[in-house]
Amino acid sequence: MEVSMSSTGQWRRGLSLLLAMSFSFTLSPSSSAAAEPGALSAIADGLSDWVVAIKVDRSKDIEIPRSRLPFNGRVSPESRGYFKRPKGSVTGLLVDRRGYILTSNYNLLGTIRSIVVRLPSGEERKAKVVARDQLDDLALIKVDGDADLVEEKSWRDPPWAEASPSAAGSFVFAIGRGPAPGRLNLTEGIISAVGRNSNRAVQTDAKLNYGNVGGPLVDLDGKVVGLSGFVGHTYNQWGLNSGIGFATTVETIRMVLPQLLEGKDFELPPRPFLGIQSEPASSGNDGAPVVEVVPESSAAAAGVKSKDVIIRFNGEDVPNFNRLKFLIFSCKVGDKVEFIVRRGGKKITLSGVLGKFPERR
Amino acid sequence: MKYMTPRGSQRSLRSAPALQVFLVLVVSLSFVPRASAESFEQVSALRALEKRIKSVVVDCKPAFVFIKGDQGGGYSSGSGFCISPDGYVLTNDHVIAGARSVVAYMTGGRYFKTAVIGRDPGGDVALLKLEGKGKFPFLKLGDSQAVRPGQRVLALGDPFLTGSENVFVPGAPANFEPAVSMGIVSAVHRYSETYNDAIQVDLAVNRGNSGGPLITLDGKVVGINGKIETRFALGINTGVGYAVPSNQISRFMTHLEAAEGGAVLHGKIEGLEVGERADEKAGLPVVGVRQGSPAAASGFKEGDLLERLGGLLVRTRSRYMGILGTYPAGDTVVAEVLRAGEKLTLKTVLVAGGKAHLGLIPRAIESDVAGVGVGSVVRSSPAQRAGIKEGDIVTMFDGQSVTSTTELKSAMNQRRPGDTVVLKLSRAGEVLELKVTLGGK
Repeated sequence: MEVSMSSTGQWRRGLSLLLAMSFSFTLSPSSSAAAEPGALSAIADGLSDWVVAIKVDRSKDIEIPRSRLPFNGRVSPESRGYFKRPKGSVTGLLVDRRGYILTSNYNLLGTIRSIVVRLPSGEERKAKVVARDQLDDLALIKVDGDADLVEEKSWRDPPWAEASPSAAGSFVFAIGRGPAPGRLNLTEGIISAVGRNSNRAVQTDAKLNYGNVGGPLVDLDGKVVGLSGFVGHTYNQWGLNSGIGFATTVETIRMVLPQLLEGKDFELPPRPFLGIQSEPASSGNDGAPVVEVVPESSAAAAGVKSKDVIIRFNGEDVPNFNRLKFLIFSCKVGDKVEFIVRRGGKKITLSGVLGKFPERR
Repeated sequence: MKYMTPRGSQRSLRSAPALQVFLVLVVSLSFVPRASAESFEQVSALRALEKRIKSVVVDCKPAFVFIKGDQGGGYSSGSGFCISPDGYVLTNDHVIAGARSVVAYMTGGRYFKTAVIGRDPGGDVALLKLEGKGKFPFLKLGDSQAVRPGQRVLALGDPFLTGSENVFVPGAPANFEPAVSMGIVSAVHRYSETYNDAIQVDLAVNRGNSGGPLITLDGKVVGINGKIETRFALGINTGVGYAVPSNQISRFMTHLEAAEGGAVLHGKIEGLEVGERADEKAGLPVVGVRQGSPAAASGFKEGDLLERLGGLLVRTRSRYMGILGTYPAGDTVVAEVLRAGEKLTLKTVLVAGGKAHLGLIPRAIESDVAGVGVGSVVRSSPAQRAGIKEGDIVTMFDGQSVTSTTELKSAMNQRRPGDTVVLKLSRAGEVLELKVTLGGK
């Protein structure tokens, strides 16, 4: 990657930086930017152009309700500091040559005074929040100024994976950028589970801590399968790594990024609604029995009748109502769905378009 | 990719190429060893490993279950796994202890009520049975004695209930996918409180993983993940987790199957007292043998040096306790001792430790019948399993009349855990006789 320095002062810094880098080559050749192919360091180096460090200066952090803190917040004043957002730099992924950077929304909560992005070249640029997606713990920021951040003809999109892993067990690496330029941080893990957050996120045991959160999660091919986030989410407000981490999938990012780039926050989408009432847990394995069909709902339009039992939904088994709810939740309002009901001794295939969950009256 | 410079500072010095030349020179002059063969092959080695992990997960996941115990007003949650096609399930005892009923969810959310078949509170293991027809996918128990530190292992579980609850959107349904974590065996034969002979692992196990299987890369279960070391009461993984070894579980299996919902008993060598630790080369010293005790009957003598127990080397008292903790009461254990330079092999039958336990709480009941009134019966205690009910009056204990709580207590003190006694009761004017197998406490 070519680096153009912008002033004499920066030139000097650049020189000393390069000197420092060459010195470190001497000591540890494996940290060379040109890693041997096949080495894991090549995976990190392959992402180097897009992974940036972000320093967030805030006047006030968000208040976490006591009820969500360990021991109901009855901890020492020092321990209370652990619930705060990190003071050090965090990580983001450059997704657009105009200078748009995607990171975890967690990194950008609180009252922000300034955001400074440190580019892979070491250059620092101010940035502002453009849009947020709280459901997926994503935030988009943009470096200040109208000029492109990266020359159009040399711009390449980050190496997005075509799809996130479809099953647990794949190796993944969380990549973070420390405050020092030229340094990437790599942690190893596997995909622990897919389909989290109603099929919007994956779970991983790769170490995610303050700092590398907001960076890409990449596979063995060096492709970006997701963006890490959800640290300090619901179960552990201390933000320490427990081997339970999450990343929003590349599919979800593909879905929400265009909207974020337009500067629109991604609101919690309306809950999809099929329009049946079922019995809670009479049996765990016999399908979802329809007790009542909501008038004028998708189910009514599709021809579902009470006493039908829904046994398949969009090609997947429906052992009980809970599973059916999960499958419906994984769809969007307006999605065409197909399902099979058992009526008397017969199996009938029905289809419909999911509606919106009715507001409570 | 070429980053643009900000407007207003376009006086860029085109000196970067010169610097690069300088850099190349420094690199080529300095001593730069070639990347080792190992780092070359890192990615391809991981690809092969990934393939193996994925296939083990695909094979094992269908046998995994999420466990929910109804604690009355709340739920205890954990993990478990099926070990037979007819639906026997293993989990940790602490996952189901005190539960009124236990439900097991399979991957994808299919669920079954379960019956508690047997409990091993001392070893933190419980055996359940799925109440459902059909053939269940199951996992096989492997040989935990063959597990070595450094061996790669996987855990399946429900850490922080990320699989059985939706932790992202309140009220949204969960996807019932267990979480897999990968790591290595850090150590074997760890002694940590009730974990007598634990496998220590560095993989991510957290609250909710309890009861889940520890799996080798050939798909065998070598332990049940049930405990972690954690600091500052944070309750999150630190890289130190403990699993109950499969060989211990296998030894208890027939006892668990026959427990009729009750607890199985661990054993000890009654009457044997050992020192704290072994000398450099000798075995663990026997410092006392009680006269007339089972230890004395097995041929132990004071001054013996205990070298091996159950074939395993004994160097400390905690290891001695640890090895014994992996055996049920009634099992025969082989001890190898050194006596005056001579090697001897002694066999001894383990005796249930602790006090006999019945599980009824007495209360004064107005009645013409002389005996001990039953105020309440402890849930899943020997008394409850035998059918003793609140309001009963115990009149005879194994042929001996009992008229007061003190008499009942002293009669109990004569008994050992595991003994079977006959209780004569008066219930609403009728006389009943019930057989009770006493538990241990």
